[in-house]
Amino acid sequence: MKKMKKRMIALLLGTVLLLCLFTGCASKNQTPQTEQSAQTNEHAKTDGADLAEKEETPVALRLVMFGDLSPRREEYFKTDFHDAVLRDLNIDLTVEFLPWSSKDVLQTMLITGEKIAVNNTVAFTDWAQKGLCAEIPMDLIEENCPNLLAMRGQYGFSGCTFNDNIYIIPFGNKAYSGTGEFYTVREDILDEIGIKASDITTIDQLLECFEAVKNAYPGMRVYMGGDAGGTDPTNTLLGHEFIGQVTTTSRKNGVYVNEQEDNDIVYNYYESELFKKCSQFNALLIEKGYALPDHFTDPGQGLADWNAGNCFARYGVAGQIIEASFISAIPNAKITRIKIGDRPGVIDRDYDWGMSISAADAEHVEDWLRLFDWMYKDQQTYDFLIYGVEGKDYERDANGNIQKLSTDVFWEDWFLMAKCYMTYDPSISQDKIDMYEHTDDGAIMSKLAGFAFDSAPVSTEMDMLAAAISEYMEPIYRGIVDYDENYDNAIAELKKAGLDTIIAEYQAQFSEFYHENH
Amino acid sequence: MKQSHSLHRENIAACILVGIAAFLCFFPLWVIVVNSFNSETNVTLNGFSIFPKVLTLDSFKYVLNNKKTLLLRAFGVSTVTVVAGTIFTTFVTICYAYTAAQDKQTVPFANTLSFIAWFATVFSGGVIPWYILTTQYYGLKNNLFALFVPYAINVFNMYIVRSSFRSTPRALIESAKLDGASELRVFLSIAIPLSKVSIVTIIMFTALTYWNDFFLSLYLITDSALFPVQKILYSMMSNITFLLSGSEATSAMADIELPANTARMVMTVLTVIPIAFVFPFVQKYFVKGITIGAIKG
Repeated sequence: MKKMKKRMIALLLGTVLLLCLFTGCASKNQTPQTEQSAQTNEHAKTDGADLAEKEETPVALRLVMFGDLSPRREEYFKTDFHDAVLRDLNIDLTVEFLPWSSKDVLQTMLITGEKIAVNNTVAFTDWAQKGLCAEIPMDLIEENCPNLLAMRGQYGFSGCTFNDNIYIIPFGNKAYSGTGEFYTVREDILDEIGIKASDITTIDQLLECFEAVKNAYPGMRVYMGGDAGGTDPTNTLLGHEFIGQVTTTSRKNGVYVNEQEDNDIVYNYYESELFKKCSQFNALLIEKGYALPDHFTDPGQGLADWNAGNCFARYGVAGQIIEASFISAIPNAKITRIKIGDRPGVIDRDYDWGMSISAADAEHVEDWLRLFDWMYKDQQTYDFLIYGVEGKDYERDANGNIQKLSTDVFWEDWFLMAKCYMTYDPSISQDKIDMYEHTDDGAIMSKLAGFAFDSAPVSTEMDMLAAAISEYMEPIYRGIVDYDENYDNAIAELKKAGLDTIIAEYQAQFSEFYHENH
Repeated sequence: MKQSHSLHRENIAACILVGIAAFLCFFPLWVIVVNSFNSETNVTLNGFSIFPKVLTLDSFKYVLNNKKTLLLRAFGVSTVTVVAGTIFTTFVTICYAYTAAQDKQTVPFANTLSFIAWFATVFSGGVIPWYILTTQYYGLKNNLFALFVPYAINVFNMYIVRSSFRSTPRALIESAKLDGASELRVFLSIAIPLSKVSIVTIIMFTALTYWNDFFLSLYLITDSALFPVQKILYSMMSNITFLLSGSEATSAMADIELPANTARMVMTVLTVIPIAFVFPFVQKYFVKGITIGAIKG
């Protein structure tokens, strides 16, 4: 009896343990949404819908994006957006969000063969060269994406290819030049001190303007500083004034090109006159109190000051001129651009963001393309994606302007933005709209457009160079430490890290690309 | 006399050192808590304060209004994870530790079990094999089990409990067996009650681990309905860090709106407060449990 009891208890405990492990297993192909949508599909009423299509099992797709969730945004993607996609495309789409810094997590998902699509950037080549992204044949794009192609207009896929294959579908059609090519400044402050932005065309006039702002607003941060990624008018816009060349720089690779030269030469940035002049100019800004040293150690503070209305000038990006949220947050604020010299705009990419499909989900490329095309189907769909549900999240007034009823974000407007569908906020004046829409006028296509540097052969050197630049060169560039005193040691460190090797590899790859495309 | 002077000086030095350490631990917490009641404008213009001039609940209202639903649900998920995970992990740990604590005659492979546990802490397959095993073989993806099953056993805790089980008097166990007690009876009625201190210790360690963990939810949970509190806090913090890093995100045409400085403080306070309230009640068990094997007899 006792033995039987012991055996029963042992069996029971073993069963409980096994149950705990295995009831955690969820079927890979069934998610709560699939079950729900299967039921939804049964009861869905579609006018004139084909009965056979109604009964067809929806295609289950997973889209992973970066961002934050609010309750309404979560509800939108799980209900409104999900149901619309299911109704129109018979796709059971699950949208998931990861924090912005979760590239490692996403890469793990791709490496382990998860069937997903991800929002990707111009720097997608990393994943493409590791074989993590599915190739997207051009004929499939032409067949399934007529609306997307129409939206893209003159912009093609040259920037989306790697080794002659397309790995990313570009989204949006907007101004692609302008990054770091002007200063975005507070026009209302200029009005108060009696200066017009159009009158500031030289570096000396810019410095005089900064001095006037500093005197009129002693507690205000005059210039925010460039961002850590290299968006910096000092290097881009003023570089033209310093050395008379239209340059496009890749600081992390230590190179720049002269866009006005019809050749494939790549120059050493950190040993150039350009770097020296930029460093000295940034040091001058700090010395005169126009920029603060903290923009290097705490870049968020500069941005916070700008957003709080306590900063006069920042690095320019095309879309800032039509940014309604800033104007609505700061009473009486007006924004304009200051452009120095006559440097033409340079377009080094013809898209900012796009979608890549995991290699494991290559079988569903066509379904993904149908979805991407559907997103640019018409104005109504575009409004639904950007603003939400009409009547619940936004309304259109008699003039066709959008009145948002909530502050929630659905699809980010900077991700989807297309000139053909854009509705500007009524607070943005027509001259600013014109300024934005003509940003690319006269812009030249960069020699680097479509070129993706494969860093795999020099990956070790790249890591070492990044560390050396961060420790030795960035303080010099930002003007925190003196150029003359620290440069020799800094350049020695960069060379020790492999700067010359990287530049040589970059030159070799770029030469090949250049000769193939010119 | 000389000895007592020396002891006195040593005591003073020890107090000073511990006081400094305590201050270093307490100061960041103070800054976080008081600045969660600070105004955003004040923080933007003047930075974080030790004693803010203006105290306001605006940041709390902002966070709770914007993320109330997410937060409430996240607290629920975290609570369930902590309770279920603690029970599960404690159960597995105690069973493993008791087996590993047996002598060679009783359980021939007891030392092997200890070795395997130690080996697993030294050598690991890495994230990708772990991820494949967890998601594709165990199916731990986007479900509650994914939030605690991967942490089924903590080797450090297991060694604490094993030490405690080993310190149980052999004579007591033999005597119980002579009286007809089964192995299970010995385990439940003798071993566990005598090791109560260490078991409560690992329960607290485990609960704290589950409350603070965001790694599992970061890799294994993408369904927002299952986000624990730490995931939401981690998301908020890492979003800010990344967006300020000047990476490809800043090529976007418009600034992505960053949560206010004070909102971050509020989120931190909301996640730390629950565990901070529980800790004083079980503090004594930590010390007792960790030092359980230090004194013989």
